[in-house]
This record gives sequence, C-alpha cells and structure tokens, in this order.
Amino acid sequence: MSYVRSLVASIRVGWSRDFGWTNPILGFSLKTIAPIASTMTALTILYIGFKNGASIASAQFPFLLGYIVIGATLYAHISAYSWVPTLAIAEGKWTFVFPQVYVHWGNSLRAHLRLLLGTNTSYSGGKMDICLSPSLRINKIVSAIPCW
Amino acid sequence: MNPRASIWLKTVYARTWVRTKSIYGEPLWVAVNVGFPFFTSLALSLLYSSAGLKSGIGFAFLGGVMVSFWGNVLWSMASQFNWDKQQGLFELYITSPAPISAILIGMSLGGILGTAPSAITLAIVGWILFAPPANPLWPLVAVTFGLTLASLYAMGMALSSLYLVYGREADSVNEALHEPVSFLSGVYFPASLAFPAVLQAIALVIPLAVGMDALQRTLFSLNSTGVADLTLVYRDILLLAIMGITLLFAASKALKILEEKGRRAGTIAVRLR
Repeated sequence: MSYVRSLVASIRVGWSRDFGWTNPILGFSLKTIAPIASTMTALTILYIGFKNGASIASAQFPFLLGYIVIGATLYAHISAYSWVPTLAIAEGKWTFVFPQVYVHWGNSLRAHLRLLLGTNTSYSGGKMDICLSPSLRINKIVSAIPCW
Repeated sequence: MNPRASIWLKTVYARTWVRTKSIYGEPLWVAVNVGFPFFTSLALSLLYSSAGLKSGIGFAFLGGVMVSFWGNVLWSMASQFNWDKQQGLFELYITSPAPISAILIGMSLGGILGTAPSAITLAIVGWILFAPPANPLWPLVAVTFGLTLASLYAMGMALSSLYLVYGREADSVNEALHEPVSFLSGVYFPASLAFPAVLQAIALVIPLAVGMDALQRTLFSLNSTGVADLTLVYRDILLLAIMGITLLFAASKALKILEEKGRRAGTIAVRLR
C-alpha cells in the first residue's frame, strides 16, 4: 500500500506543479497549444510542398495529411516527454526535493543494498543528491550536511 | 578605466564565462541542444524532399539553426532570473555591486557562445547531407543575423524581467510560447507562402518572424526571379533595429520597476508562506 500512497502523492505533486498555478482549462489549453503548433508546422510544409512541388498528386494529398497528423503529433509528445527525466533530476536537486524524498530511507533501493553489504554509503553520508549527476554539483553545501 | 565601467565589464565577462561553462559542462545538454533541432530539421527536410521541393530544404535547416537560439532565449534568458530567485541567487545579484544590465548582457553573450556550435553543426550537416540550393547575399545575411540575435536576446531580457514576478507559471508560459511563436514566425517555411497577409502583418511584431523573413530572403532569394527583394530586406533590417533598441530599453525599465515592486511587496525572494 505504501507504493500506492507514494504514487498518489507523486501524481498530486505533479498536478500541483503543472496545473496548480491556474485553473485546469487554462492549464490544459497552454499544454495543448504547443503540440498543435508543432503539428501545424509539418502540415504547412506538406501543403507548401503539395502546392509548389512536383511529387504529390491531388489524390495522394489527403492520405499524406493523415500520416503527417499522426506522426507529427506523436513526435511532439515524445519530444516533450523526453525532457522529463532531465527536468526531474535538475529540479529535484535545485529545489531540494530529492533530499526530502530520500530522507525516508525505505525509498532507496541502493541504500538497502549498501546497508545489506555493509558498505559506507554516500547515501548515509548525506551526499545522495550529488551522486545522481556528478556534472551538476551545485548543492555541495547542502550535501556536506549529514542527514542524520 | 572608470571604476563603474570596469565593474560592468568584469560582470559581463564573469556571467558570460559561467553561462558558457555551464552549457559545455553538461554533456547531456550539449547532445540535446544539437539533437532536437537536428532531428526536427531532418524530418522536415525529408518532407520537403518527398514533396519534390528540394529548394525548401534550406528553410528546414535554417529553421533548425534559429530555433536553437530561440530555445536558448526562452529557457536560458527569460526564465533565468526566475530560477535564480528560486535558488536564492537573485538576492545576491541585487545586493552585490554588479549591475543587473551587465548580468543580462553576460547571460546573452554566454548563451550565444553556447548555442553557436549547435547551430553551426546543424548548418554544416544540413549542407553536407542535402546541399540545398542557396543564393546568399553574405553582407546582408551577416547584418540580418546579428540584428535578429540582438533583438531576440533583448526580448529575452525583457521577458526575464517580467517572469521575475511569476512563479511556476513562467515555465508553462514558456512551453506554450515556444512552438506557436516558431510556427507563426515561419521558422521552417516562408510565411509569405503559407499565411494570409493579415497574419503575416500580425507576425511582424515578433522579432523571430522579422528575422526569419529577412534571412530567408537574403539566403535563398525568395521570389520567382531568383533575386532577393531588397526593399523588403531593408524594411526587415529597420524593424529589427527598432525592436532591438525598444526591447533593450523596455527590459531595463521593467527590471527596475519590478525590482522596486518586489522589494516593497516582498516577492523578490522565495519565501515559505
């Protein structure tokens, strides 16, 4: 059940982060406008190619339109999601979310493993945030403070 | 040297160095900065090519180059002070003798230096793979490119002042602005071939739209005779210069007003309420 509780809490935090600052309609509108514009770009290019190029017959155009709508929409979504891991790590560190998440040591599989092996973990030394991405060592001061 | 000028220049240098270092210090971001515009340009080039319009491929790669800078303006200029505020850096900026204008200029120069390799890589790869037909007027291309970057980064400075008073909504507004502005600006295609005159006129208030129009005309000679319409290019150059100066002035004014307002209302720093 604790996993379900964590999941529900994460969803609530995610919702609050993305939509909590406004009403849901405006929030969804702002989230929708970008993929629509991205798809419209591809459709416009297809239309310009159809009007000015030599390779697309009139009968082909509606079929190609369908392919482009599906492909461009999918690409717009995938390119948006691909930012999520980077943002999650960066924001988790900058806004000190990770120390709060990891402070409950049951959340860290690595901590379990290292405790089991008896090794001195970076986790128990309070360095867990800089271990996540060595190239983003901006939280050294915070990291130097032991968690307990 | 005048001490104020010396501090100003040192601040510009320091902020430029930090921005450049931060971009190259994270290999994932370098890959993302090159990869995203490249794959979008590649996909759109193939679309032009499959439609039998080889002459359009240049627009796709030019769009990729300019989108790199546009993304940098939105995410590394406009949002930066808001992020600095969240991390407590902005308080240090305003309590130190470093002029805010110098910090903004330094961020812009660092952003341009950091984005240039991605833009150059994209242009070279596009040229090697597709060799799009072009008829460039290099002196005008250089002037137009310089003015477009100047007015785009001036817009970034103005937005950074505006976003300073906002919280999370700044990120959402950025996400909502990126693609629609690229679309309306005709980044990957000539707006004159796609939009009615009214829409083109409305888009002329966006520096990216004016810059793209001028770059497309000077690089690819956008008309049936194959000779660029210089009257329209000069109009665009004039518009870009006016926009750059106006936005720079607006950014400086807005920052002073919002900083003062933030001090009074207590919103200049993030606090637990």
